[in-house]
Parts: sequence; C-alpha cells; structure tokens
Amino acid sequence: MHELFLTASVPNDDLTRAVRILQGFCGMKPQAFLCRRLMWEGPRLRTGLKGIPGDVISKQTPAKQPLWKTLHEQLVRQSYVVALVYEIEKGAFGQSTEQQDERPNHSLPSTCDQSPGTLRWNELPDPVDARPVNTRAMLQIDNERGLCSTMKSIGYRFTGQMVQECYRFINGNVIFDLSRYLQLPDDSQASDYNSPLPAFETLTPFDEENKWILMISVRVVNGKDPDQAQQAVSELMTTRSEFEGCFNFHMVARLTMDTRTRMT
Amino acid sequence: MSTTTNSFPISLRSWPSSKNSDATSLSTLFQRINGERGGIQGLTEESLRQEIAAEAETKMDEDDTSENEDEDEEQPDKLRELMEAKGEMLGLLESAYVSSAVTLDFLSLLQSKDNPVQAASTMSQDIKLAVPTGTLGADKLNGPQINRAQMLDNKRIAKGWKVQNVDKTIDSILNAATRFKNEVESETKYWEEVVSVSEKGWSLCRLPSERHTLGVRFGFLEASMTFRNQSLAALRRNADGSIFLDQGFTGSEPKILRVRVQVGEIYTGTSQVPKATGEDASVESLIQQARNTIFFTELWQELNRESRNLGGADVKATEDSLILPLNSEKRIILDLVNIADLEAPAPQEDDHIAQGLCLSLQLLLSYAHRQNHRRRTLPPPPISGQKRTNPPYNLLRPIITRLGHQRTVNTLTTLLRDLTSLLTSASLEAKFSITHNQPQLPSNINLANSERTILSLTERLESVATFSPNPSTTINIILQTQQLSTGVSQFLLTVNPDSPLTTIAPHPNWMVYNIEAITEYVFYATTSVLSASIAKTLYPLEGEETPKSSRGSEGWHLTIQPNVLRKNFEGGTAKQMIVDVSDHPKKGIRLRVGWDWMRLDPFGTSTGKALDQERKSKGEGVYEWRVKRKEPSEGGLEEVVRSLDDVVEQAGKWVYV
Repeated sequence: MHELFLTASVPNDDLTRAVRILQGFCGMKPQAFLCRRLMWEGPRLRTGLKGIPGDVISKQTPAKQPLWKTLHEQLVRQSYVVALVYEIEKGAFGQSTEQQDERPNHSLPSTCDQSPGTLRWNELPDPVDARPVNTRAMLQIDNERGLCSTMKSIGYRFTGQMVQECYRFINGNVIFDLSRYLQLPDDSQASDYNSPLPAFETLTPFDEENKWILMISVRVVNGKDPDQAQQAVSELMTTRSEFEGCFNFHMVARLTMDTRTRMT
Repeated sequence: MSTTTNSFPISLRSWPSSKNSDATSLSTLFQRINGERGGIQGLTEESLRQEIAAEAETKMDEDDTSENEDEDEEQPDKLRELMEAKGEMLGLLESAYVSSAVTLDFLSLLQSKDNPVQAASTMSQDIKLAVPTGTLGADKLNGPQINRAQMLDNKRIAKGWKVQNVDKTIDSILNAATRFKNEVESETKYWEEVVSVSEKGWSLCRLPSERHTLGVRFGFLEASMTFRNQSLAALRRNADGSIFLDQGFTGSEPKILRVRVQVGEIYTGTSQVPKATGEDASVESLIQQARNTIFFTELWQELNRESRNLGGADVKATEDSLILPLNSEKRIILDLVNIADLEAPAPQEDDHIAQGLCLSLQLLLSYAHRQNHRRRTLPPPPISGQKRTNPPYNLLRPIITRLGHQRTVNTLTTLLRDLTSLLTSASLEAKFSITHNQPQLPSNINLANSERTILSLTERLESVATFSPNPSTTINIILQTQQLSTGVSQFLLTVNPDSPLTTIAPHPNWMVYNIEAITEYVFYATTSVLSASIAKTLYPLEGEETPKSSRGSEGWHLTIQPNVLRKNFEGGTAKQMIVDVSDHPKKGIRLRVGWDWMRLDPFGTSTGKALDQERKSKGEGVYEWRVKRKEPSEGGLEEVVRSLDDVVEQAGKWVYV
C-alpha cells in the first residue's frame, strides 16, 4: 500500500478555527483521539537481517499473515524504526498531584501486550519526481495483541514513546489528520512502555512552537499503477486548491521522515 | 456657383407648384394608377374591394407569421436595427463633426484679421486655399444695452433658479430619507424572520451562486448527490420586507408517499396525507414542507431502485406505483402523490397497517442515511482499480423479511396449537410453546440505541418453538429469518436424545427451508410417538403370541412402518392398527385410528351403516378426533370424546368370529 500526502502547519492559537473550518468542509464532527506511539528500532546491521521468522508469522491470525509476510520482505532488506500505536482514553493518564487526593486512582491500565494495537511501518518517502505530492510505501496491521512481545522476538529494541493528540476528518478519499506530538516528561518512566502514563498536564509538546500538523493523505493499493496514483494526486491537488489562502499545503523534504535505522 | 454644378446630378423636375398640389386631380391620379397598375383596364369597384380585403388578410397573416417567426427574425431584425442604429450614429457624428469644423473655420477666419498667427494654426487647409486670410471682419455695433432694470430682472431670475433648485434638492433628500427609512424597516423585518428561521434549527448559508443572498438548507446531508444539490432554497425579501422561499426551478409541488392496502379491487386502508400549507403560511412551514417533499421524493426513488432487485420477492413495479403482497388476500400499493391533488380519505379498517408501513419506510430511509454517514466518516479503503458500487438501500427488504417471519410464526403456531388441542381431546398430555429470541447484534461497533432498535426488528429474527406430543418427546424448532434471504425462513429441528423418535423417526439434521417440510415432519413424528407409546416392544420375539383373554392394550408391537401396529393372537390370527395424523385443508387436522384383522381378501361388499355394523361385529373399526380450522358451534348432542387408551383397548380385543 502507498500513501500520498501533503502537510501544512497550524499554530496552536488557530486550532479551534482550523477544526471548525474542517468540520464545515467535511460535514462531520471531528474524531478526536489520543494515541501512545512506541518506537521500536531494528538491529543495527547492514546485512544479515533476519526479518520476521516464519514461526512468528504462522502464529498470527491467518487473515493477516500476508501482511506480515510483506513486512518481513521489507525488514529483511533494511532495518527500520517501526511504530506501535495504541489508542488510549483520556482517563488512562495519571492524575496530577492536586487531583490525586480528591479522586481515587483509575485502575492500572493493562500492559501493552494485552491491549489491541496497530503496527505501522512507513518507508522513506520517494524522491521528488513529477508528482507534486509526497509518496511513501506503508503498511498497517490493525487490532493485534501482543505486539510488544512480537517485536522483541524479532530482535527489535524499544527506543522511546510519545503521545499523539489527533483530530481526524474524512472527505471522500482524503483523510485529514490534525495532530500534535507530545513527549513524556524526562524521567525513567519514559523508557518503560508498560508503566502507566503520567498526568496529561505534564506532557510537553514535541516542537518548541507548539504547532499542529495537518496532513492530508490518500491511500492507494498499488502506488506504481499510474491510474490509481493519478487519481490520488488529483484529489490531493483539488483539496489543496480549495484551501488556498487558508492552509498552505506543501511537500516535505523526504529525509525528515526517514524511518531507517541509523547506523552509527 | 459654377464649381458645384459639375459635381452633383441635378433633378430636372420643377418643384411641385401649388396649383398642381391637389392630389386628387385627374392627371396626377392617372399618373399614379399607371405607375402602380399599368392601366385602368378591368378595374371595378368590386375588384378593388376584394383586393383591399385580401390585402388586409395577408397583412394579418403576415403579422401572425411575423409573430411566429418573430423569434427567428428577431435576431436578423436586431442585427438590422443594430446596423441601422450604427449608421444613424455615424451619420450624426459626421454631421456634428462637419458643423464643428465649419464653425472652427469661420471663427478662425474671423480671428485671422486680428490674430493671424494663432488663426492660421486653427484654420483648415481647405479654407486657406478657398478664402484668403483676413477677409472677414467683425465690429461691435452697439454697446451693451443692459440697463439697471434688466440687471435687476436678471438677478431675480437667478435667485428664482437658485430657489427652485434648492427646493428640488430638498425634495430629493426627503425622498431619499423616506426611502431609506422604508428600506431599513423592511430589512429589519426580513432579518427578524431570518433569525426566527435560524432559531428553529434550520441551517443558513450563503448561496454559492449569488453570494449576497442567504439560503436555507432543508435537505439531508446523507442523501444521494442529486438530492443534495437540490436541497438549498434562497430566502428573498419581498417589497414590504416579508420573506419568501425561492426554490428556483427545482422547486416542485409538495409530495408525499401514499401507502394503500388493497383487497381484490377495493382499497381497505390508506396512510395519512397531510394538508398542503397555503401560499401565505409562515416560512418555517414552507421550509418544512419542502423538506418533506425532498425526503419523500428521495424515498420514492430509492424504493424504485431497490424494487428492481426484489422481483423474486413478488414486488412488482408499474409505471407509477409499487405493489407487494401483504398476505394471501391483501396487497400493498405504494405511490408518490401530490398533496394538493388529494383529499383526506374516509377512515377505513386497515388504515393502521398502511400508516404503520409508511412510518417504517421513513424510519428505514433515515437509518440508511445514518449508515451512509457511518460509511463516509470511516477511513476509506485505499484506491484500487475497482470502482465502488452504490448498492440500493434496504427499505422494502426488512419489511418483507419481518412479514415473512411473522407469517411463518403464525403458521407454525396454528399448526402446533391445533395439534396440541387435538391430542388433548384424546386425553393425551401434549403441550407447545413459542418464544422469540433477542437477535445477536455485532458488539464491536458503537451503535446508537435507535440503530440497535431498527437492527433488532429487522435482522436475524429468531423464534424457538417446542412441541411435546408426549412427555417422552420434545421437538425443538428454531426458526430464523434473515434479510439476505428476504423473508424465506430456515428451520433447524432438534429432538431430545432419549425420545423414541431418535430410533424410529429421526429428524433431518440439516437446515430446512420450507414450512411444509416441517409440518410433514411434525405429523410424522406425532404419529410415530403415539404408536411408540401404544406398542410396548419394538418387534415381537419369535413365536410370541398374545393370549386371547388379555387386555386390548397389550401385545401390540411396532412394524417397519412407524404408524402401523400389529398384534399376534394365539391361533395364528393377527390384528393391525394404523395411527394417522394428517391435515385436510377444509376439515382441519385429524387423528385417526383404524384397526382390522389381517387378511388377504378385502373388506366385504356392504357399505355405509351396514359396513359399520359388520365391522363392529367382527371387532374392527375406525375412530377419529378432529380439530376444525374454523369451528362453528354445532347444535345437538355431541358424542363424548373418547381417549386414545380406550380406543386402543377396544381395538385390541379378541372378538370371536
């Protein structure tokens, strides 16, 4: 599967206005959700990568095994940073110190292995060619349990986590994702993905200006097929021209979205 | 002027003199007639009158045709007019130019005496050649003659002009002020009404075509594209400020879906038809009516689209209506009608059915809209080469499914109830029950309560019936109906494992798809169970014979056919008994037990009462229990209904022949 996309940045002050504009444009209420993103990095080797062994693949649900096989083909030739995304409720965050006395703690959230999560693998975006949009190959395996153990079993290391706050809108084939990335406060909890999340207020934005990123994306089954790609490109271009003057959609430099493991 | 005579042609005819100006003098008349007609031969008063009449007619025809051809000739006429106007304009311009050039030349000639240099620059070449400079002079003759009286007069005139103009200005300002006041009033009224419309919940927006006009969106966002495009109406202002709804050329007459129940040729029920709102009704009611119209128009279109796939479910479409069967006697007719054309019909007995169906169709369309909303707010599947189809909504399908399920349940209930009462009348313990189960809904999607309700009423309908003809046996029938099979139910039979049926008459352990097969099995199972309850053993041991003095109910055993029992007596004779449960379409379900001696020759030749007597004397007979479908109460003495055990006892007796 390929994803064609464009991004724009939205300052934090303009957030409500942007949400309202998108709400009117798409004719739907925003789907707001919070996710916990765990980053897993592959072994730092150039050759001899093992990918996903066959017994791991056969343990997965039969319907999704082709996806795992495709992932294995990618991980065998190159080591990547893969994201595991878990959707979380606002209540899963810990309490701030003032509130702790008033309300009892929520019960501890289940470990990441017990909750269903999504595995998301993105390729480095294709080099800039005739297309006016970014293109990258991607793979998404939804609703899987036990992903953390699976990642450990194929030799991947947990390197960090962050929280994504996202508003999603859909218009036809175009998905609008207005999201902000927050990082956990710098303490030892950040390195343990099973520990409960700290209070929401303690999270800090990932970039200094506290910007939100609005990404419009269209997915195609086969990015090499010119007809499908052309259809996706025309939809993105139409959306971009509709929002001219409001949001400035542009391509990003491909290396800013490099997901390959750094060999240092 | 010798120079001019060479350049123009000069007419040689003299000016018409006053003497000859009498137009009716004979010589001029003759001249004219010869010119027009070429002579006066054959000219009579009659012919002249006819000619005039004919001319008048052709002129009228021409007018008519010219009107008809107006549109065709309009274009060339306009072109000609344009050309003419252009020519005229050019001519006027040219004459204006010429006169101003002549004036310029004259004045510069005048000036040339006093100011030759400046004059020479403004004189044209022609006049320099024609007339030498300095040849024209002007002198003042008299001094200004304006005296004091005239000056005062002039001043008064000037004042008068000023006063007049100031008055005019004041008037126009006052007019402007009144107009402005009226405008403000009407605008305020307009905006009050607009605000009231908005407060009622209608969404207002700018019209995409005329960005300075407000429009109200009365349609549905989840409807199909054609209807979404028609769902905007402009709110325009009348001269006095009141608001009116302008639907443009998509506006049509108010419509509604009408559901009627028909038996044979007579309509026995109609759904409600509201009154049309008048022209002067409030804007909100007009908007409401427009919304209802577009809803019903869409409903009608989607019903028609769906009915093309439902031919197998007996849904027929005619030019302007849809017909589907309700039960064996009644039919439902659906059509889209203008409200203005209908009057309120008189109340009839099946009105509630028609109204209920109309409401459920509207609910199902709203549910289809909700499903559209769900589908478009979920991340779409990635673009592939395949086109996405647009399947028709499920509007009639759930209704047909539910009707089919209810019909089957009714049939099953009647069957089991009749059987139970039949068996009870034979003093057997039989019972039955029917329960309706809650359908299992998918739990992973968040469904609103309204969606759950609709789903549970129309999808995966399930009922369970249990029937025990005998305490030893219970037959379970699970009846399921799904939308996909549009009303065709499927049955699953199970029997409790310790029943004799498992060995004698095993049930089909696959899905059965028609009620007749179920009915047949239930009858068959009942007879088998009854026989099994009479017979004590399955097959006789070799040579076993029942003594003649034993009780009638002993000694029966089953044969290969589960409903035939046999009893071997000492001495070699044997009696057989047949148990039968069946359904006669007119006479109802009956249980029949017949017994006779086993012999090779058929019954004797006597018939009727004699046959009965003969049978009794020989120890043979027949007994029937019956449940009628529609029971009229019969007068007269009724025979006491006997129990099965009594009958078996009588059948098994040894009668010496």
